[in-house]
Amino acid sequence: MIRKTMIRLAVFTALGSLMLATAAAAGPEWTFGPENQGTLKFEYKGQFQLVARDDGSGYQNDENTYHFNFRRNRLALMGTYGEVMSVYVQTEFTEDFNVGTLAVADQDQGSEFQMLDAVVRFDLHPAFKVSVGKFKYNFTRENLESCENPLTLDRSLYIRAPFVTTRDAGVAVWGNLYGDRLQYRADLMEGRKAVGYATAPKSNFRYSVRGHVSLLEPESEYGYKGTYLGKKKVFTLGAAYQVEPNAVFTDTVTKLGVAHYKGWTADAYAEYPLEGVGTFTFGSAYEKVDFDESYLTLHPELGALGLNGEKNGWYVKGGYLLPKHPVQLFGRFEQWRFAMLNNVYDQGVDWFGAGVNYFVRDQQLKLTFEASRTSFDRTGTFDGLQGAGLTTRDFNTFTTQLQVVF
Amino acid sequence: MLRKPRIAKQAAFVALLGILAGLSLALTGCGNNPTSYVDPTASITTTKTPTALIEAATLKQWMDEGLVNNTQPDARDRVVVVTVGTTATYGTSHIPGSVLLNSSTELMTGRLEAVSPLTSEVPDGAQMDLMLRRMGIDRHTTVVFTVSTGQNFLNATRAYFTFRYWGFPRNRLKVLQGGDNGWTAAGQTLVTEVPAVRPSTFSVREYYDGTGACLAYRMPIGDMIDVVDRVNAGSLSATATTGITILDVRGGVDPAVGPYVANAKIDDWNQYYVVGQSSTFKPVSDMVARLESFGITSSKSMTYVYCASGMRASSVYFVLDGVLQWPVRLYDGSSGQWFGYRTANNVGTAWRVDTNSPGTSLPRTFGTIASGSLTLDPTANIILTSITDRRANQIAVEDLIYLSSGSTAGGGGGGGGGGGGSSGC
Repeated sequence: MIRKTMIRLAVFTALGSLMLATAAAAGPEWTFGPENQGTLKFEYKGQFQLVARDDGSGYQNDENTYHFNFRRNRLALMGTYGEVMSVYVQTEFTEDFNVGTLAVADQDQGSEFQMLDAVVRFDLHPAFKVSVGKFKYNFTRENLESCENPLTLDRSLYIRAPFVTTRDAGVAVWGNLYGDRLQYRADLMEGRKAVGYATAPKSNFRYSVRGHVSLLEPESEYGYKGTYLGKKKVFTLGAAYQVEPNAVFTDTVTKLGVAHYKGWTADAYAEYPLEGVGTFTFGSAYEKVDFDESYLTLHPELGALGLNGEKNGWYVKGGYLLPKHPVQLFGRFEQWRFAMLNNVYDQGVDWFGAGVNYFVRDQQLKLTFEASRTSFDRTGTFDGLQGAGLTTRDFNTFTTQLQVVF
Repeated sequence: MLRKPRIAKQAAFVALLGILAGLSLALTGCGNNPTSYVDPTASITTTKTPTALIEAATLKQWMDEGLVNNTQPDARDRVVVVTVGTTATYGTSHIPGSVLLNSSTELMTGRLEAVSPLTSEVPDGAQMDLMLRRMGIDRHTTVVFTVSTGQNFLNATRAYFTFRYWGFPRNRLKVLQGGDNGWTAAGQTLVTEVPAVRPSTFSVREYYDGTGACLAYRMPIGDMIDVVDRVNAGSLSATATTGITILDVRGGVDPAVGPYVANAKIDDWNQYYVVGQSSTFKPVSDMVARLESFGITSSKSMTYVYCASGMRASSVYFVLDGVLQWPVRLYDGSSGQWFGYRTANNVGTAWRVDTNSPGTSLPRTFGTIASGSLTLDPTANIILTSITDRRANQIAVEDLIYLSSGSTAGGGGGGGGGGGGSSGC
């Protein structure tokens, strides 16, 4: 019965995807300034999804859910002035993003328009570059991968840092050394927003350091890619560490102690095209987020719990791009352990997904289908710090996505 | 001959890929189970009883373990024994350490609902918070309800319903089988000393789940009429295995004569208790058999129970929710309210229950309503012209506003993007 439902869902989403394919073209680019030293480029990036999940609706919230929505819906403005300075501004509009990582929301989530990125970059030297503003922080490789160039449908669902989204505000220095074989990054970011004593013990910056070594062709850009579509031979090993002192009260009521946020990650990535055979891609990473076990107190900071709170886990993913056809098969497996997730202490989550990318026009126009399963160590309905009656159930998700970069 | 280099190249690549993959997996920890965390709730025992109905021996064990009125500042498991009764009966004797919930002044209150005020309804949020703080109850407390020797056991089940309505999870609420009678029958003693309780700072807001879903455990009259109308119209089944049941538990009602809410099954709350012991529930198998005789099983999407004022029905509500964990809601206005909504009392046309359901020839009430008084709220009777007007659920609206306003202890941000689950209570 479950298998029948899954097949129906898969067929449904696949059929839906056929309706979406259209043509696309590159975006415009302007030049300005007395010697045309300024350039400006305007881009739209959309990822339109049809999501089918065998859970989340109906009387007991355990029936199929179908959802059309934009996973990403962005306008980006990229400009350069001369050799040194550039700007990157990106907005995002999301609307009723009701089908979440763990559950389908009970109510519409509303719409949000936000300035996703707003960064000024100074390319002073290949070994010394500076970014100032709001942009991706230097922690996990997965988060630093371009949203439009993932190997799988999307990047890992569990690998974000606490108290921030995928971006943060601050300043970063970075550069490439030894013929771009070695890349270093360091940043000073806002981390947890500055708030008064009623909420947080102190206001401190978050510090990150990251480095990678490229053993084959270098990955010298600020953003990584999940796949280079066989255009590069890559093998990169990386690691990063983040710390934010005095980030939370260990007990938010008694305020008798403080805990620091510490996180570290190690990652590996390889892509190797083989003539006549195809391109093989491989990636994996481990991440640990630590708040000094503050989850053990009676009134822990809720931001130190949950998806982005105290946790550790890893993912491994692989892909195969056919040699003569723009078709890429992929799969990803993740295993995580959370200090508390939906009121369950020491909750374990396994995630497995597999699917296919069809590149109509490289990443500018791409059709992706992914089937995934999310399963938990403990299922049921639990009351607790994160709310009353939160239900945790295993579920399957089928997603078809049309990506357009215009 | 020409193929050899290519085969060799592929073999070399596969070997390289294997080495890289192995190296990468080792570096990133993949393949190993992530490190586990401590579950500090593993030591909590009071939430793990099979049902919400507990025996005296269980309470005695908790008492011996020091859980009753546990004053440890970091206690995750404490028990507050609540005697639901009057000052006089509590003063005569009570279980050691128990606190009084005054059934005359704290258990019920007068509130407006739909087009007329009611006298015996759930306390509002501010009243609940005052009561809970005085009794030292917080979110780490398991509450055990009992009644004084020889007193009305319905006070205990009504308190259970009231706490459920205000968001207390099922596993944090217990009812002592037999009340104080059961306690003494098990060889335990009662005392007169009033315990010194350290007040808490708790608020029912701490159990607010963002939706107020628990408030739906109490059915207002508009929703009850709507259920009857939908059954009469054929859009809701009161006979299907997975349909709904309306259960009249007043006792003494003649199914052939009525009057009662149309489509209701006629039961008797007394039948769930051991004969001659109105504070001791029958064995679970007996209660299940009785419910099944009315077609009520765990497959039913909902059972709506009512009596005359919401007291007797709370007893069967407890059986369904606390003992069996089957879906149930309590029509709190019960027949006292229902019979008042008749034409002779000049209630607005939409609210009259001595008429047929709109678009049908089927009545909202079985039998003839011979009496039933009502004090109309003239403003509400003019403004509220539809049974589905949410403004007519004044109690739920006020209580949801209370729950969703103000801050809660232990607050802070959410658990991360998409971290929520589906709600329930």
